Amino acid sequence: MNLKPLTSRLPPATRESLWAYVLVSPWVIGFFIWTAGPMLASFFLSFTEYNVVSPLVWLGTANYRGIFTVDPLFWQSLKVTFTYAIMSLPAGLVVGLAVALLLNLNVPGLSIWRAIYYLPSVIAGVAVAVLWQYVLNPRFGVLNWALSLVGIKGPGWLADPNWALSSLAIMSLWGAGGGMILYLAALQSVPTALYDAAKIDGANAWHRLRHVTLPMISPVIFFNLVMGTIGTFQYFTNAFVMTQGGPVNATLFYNLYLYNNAFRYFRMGYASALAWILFVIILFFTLLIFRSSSVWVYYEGQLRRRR
Amino acid sequence: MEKRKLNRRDFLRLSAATVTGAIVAACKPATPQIAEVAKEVPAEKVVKETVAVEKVVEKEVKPTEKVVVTIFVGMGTGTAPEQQAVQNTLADEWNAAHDDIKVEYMYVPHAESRTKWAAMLAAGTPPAINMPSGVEQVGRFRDTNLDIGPYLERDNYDLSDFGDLIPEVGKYQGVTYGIVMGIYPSVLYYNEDLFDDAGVDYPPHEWGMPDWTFDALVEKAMKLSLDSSGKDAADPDFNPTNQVQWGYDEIDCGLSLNGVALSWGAENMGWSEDFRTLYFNQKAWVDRLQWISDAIWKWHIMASAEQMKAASPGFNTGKLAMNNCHSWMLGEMVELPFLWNVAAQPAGPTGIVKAQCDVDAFLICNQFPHLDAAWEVVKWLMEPDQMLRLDFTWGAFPPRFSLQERYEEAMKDKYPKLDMKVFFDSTKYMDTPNHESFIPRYGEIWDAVTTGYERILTGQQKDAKVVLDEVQKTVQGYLDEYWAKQS
Repeated sequence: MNLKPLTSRLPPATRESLWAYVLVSPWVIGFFIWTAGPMLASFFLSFTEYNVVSPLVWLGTANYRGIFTVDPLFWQSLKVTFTYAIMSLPAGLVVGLAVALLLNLNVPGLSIWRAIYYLPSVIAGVAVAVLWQYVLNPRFGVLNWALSLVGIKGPGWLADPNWALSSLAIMSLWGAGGGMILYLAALQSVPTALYDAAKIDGANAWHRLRHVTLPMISPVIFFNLVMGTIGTFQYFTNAFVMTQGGPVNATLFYNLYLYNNAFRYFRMGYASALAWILFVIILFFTLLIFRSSSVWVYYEGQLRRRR
Repeated sequence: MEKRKLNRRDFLRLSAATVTGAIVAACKPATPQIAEVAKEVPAEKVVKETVAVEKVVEKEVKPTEKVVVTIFVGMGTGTAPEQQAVQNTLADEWNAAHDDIKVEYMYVPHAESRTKWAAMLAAGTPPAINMPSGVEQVGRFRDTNLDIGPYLERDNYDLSDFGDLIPEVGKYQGVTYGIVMGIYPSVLYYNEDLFDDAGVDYPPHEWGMPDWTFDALVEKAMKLSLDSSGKDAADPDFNPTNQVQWGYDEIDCGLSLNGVALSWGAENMGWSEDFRTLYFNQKAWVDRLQWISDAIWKWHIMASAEQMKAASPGFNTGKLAMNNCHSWMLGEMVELPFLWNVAAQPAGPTGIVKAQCDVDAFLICNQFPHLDAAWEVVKWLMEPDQMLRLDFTWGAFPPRFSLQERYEEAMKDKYPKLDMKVFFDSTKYMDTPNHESFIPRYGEIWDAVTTGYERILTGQQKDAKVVLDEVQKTVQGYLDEYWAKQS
């Protein structure tokens, strides 16, 4: 169909709107079909028992009641996920920021160091998992070898229920370079005039960090915190490849448990209910962080209402 | 004509209408005849219900053009490139000889196989045959597996060559869904060099020897378990924290508690016939798991989880003297730097000898529209020549007794010293019902058992009674919840 005669009769504003909608429509249609549609379907399925092969059975709220009242693994997976979040999230933020601060000191070969620290975060997840299985090997792994140099007998790491989760938290620092690169960009955009002014006012290095650097890069810290929180609650690949949730469910992350229900036990309805509970949890914490941002995130040029 | 600006609301309405139309169109069944056939087979949801034997033979949809019979491979072995080559050759041979039916193989990685299978059924494009497929699928997909009883009856198919025990494995709740195409008996692999170095007699190759018990195995295994200074586990100065060699293990062999506990006198597979009650803390299971605990922490003949992670003492490494495993381990046993052979399983404390047996069977999907064609293909694949070729490439033993001699002869080239008779005799002691028999909430129940097993392996708990009491509570809870939802 030739659109030109039709569109040429329309006013320019309408024509412009039409083209805008036409150009944006692939995304909108894709969103409805591939995101909104499955989300609504999963919400419906969460009230059913459905194993893909047999017809679904309406259960009402039984899946949700079962999750909260009779499923010990739901609570175990929540405990594992929260514990991991408490261990890895602050550590990841602090290490990423610390490395960025070091690299911001005009060190020689900055681009090389930056590449070295950033490189791990672009390596595929499964490859990293396999690599760390060697690093964490109790007998010939690098970590226990390093500990043995200072006279410490390393634990069994992934084979030990008391250490398996900590092992994954330590491993998560491997990806701190992803946050580091954002921090570094933010640090390099802080106007030097602010530091000069602070120096004249007698501020030492700590004061400059506390009162100039951190407020100026707080939007990036906020971004990393939000993304890190969402990513932590959706943690899956490493646990799936390295531990499959063991030993003794010590690394049974929420998403892994959800996956097991969907694709190993074929309880799609139950897994959908788990997914919606996860959605609510993530939404809650994300909103909490957003609400708190007015207290600690500084946006240059933002007008704040005075109390 | 009134000119009207297309506003956001109109656009969203238009998009929603388009998407709704697309979804409605997508929901239409792919092929009407598939839907009709599917309706003929009721989807029973309660296991206790007797599965109605459909007269599928009479309801066959007559093909009007060349029928494509897809063989789905992924729920057992058969996906390795060299296996694919053999299977594809068989398909080519069939296709060259038949104008009306075309055979095609579909290969799916094992981890994705059940999801793919379910998705294909849900999409209305069911594969015809699932082969090779493990026992679990016989019951798991009972709603969509074809009852082949009517076909066996119609063709008066002779199963006497399979013996009495093997055909039972293809049944679930009394209905025959599949026929075993290959079996993987379990035996005791042993490292002759390690036995010779320790001056210990080899375990017997004959099954049912009166003095060949698990106690006797422990005695041998302790002499074969060494620390870094060369002291064995029977030596009071043996240092288990620096162990370098182990006398016994069941590494990566999928030996199940319910299968092996039969040697400890278990009277059932762990559940009641109506699948409502589980007996996972019965005495035989506790005794068997306690034996494992003692083997790791008391006798030091088996590797703990940490030792396993650290030293990877698989049989192929030469650090393990005896490994209780299925025949599929043979595939990895090529050009090993030590001499090895296989022996019989020992008797449990009750004197019972049982050998857990894995199998690969074929299953036909009852939603496939051309069931006669699918049956003709599996009948051809069950013929001795085809079955033998499949078993060779799968690393399986033929379930037909008439093939044993040919198989043994052919295997001599690859394993000249191997005592093949031990494998064949193992099938006389196979576990029936099979340890992989399906029960409701199968995955969760066995994951709970694995978690309990890990508590022993990691040393978190060494008392098997404590572990299995907790497992029993958990798994019975799963089953109770399952039945509550069925009512």
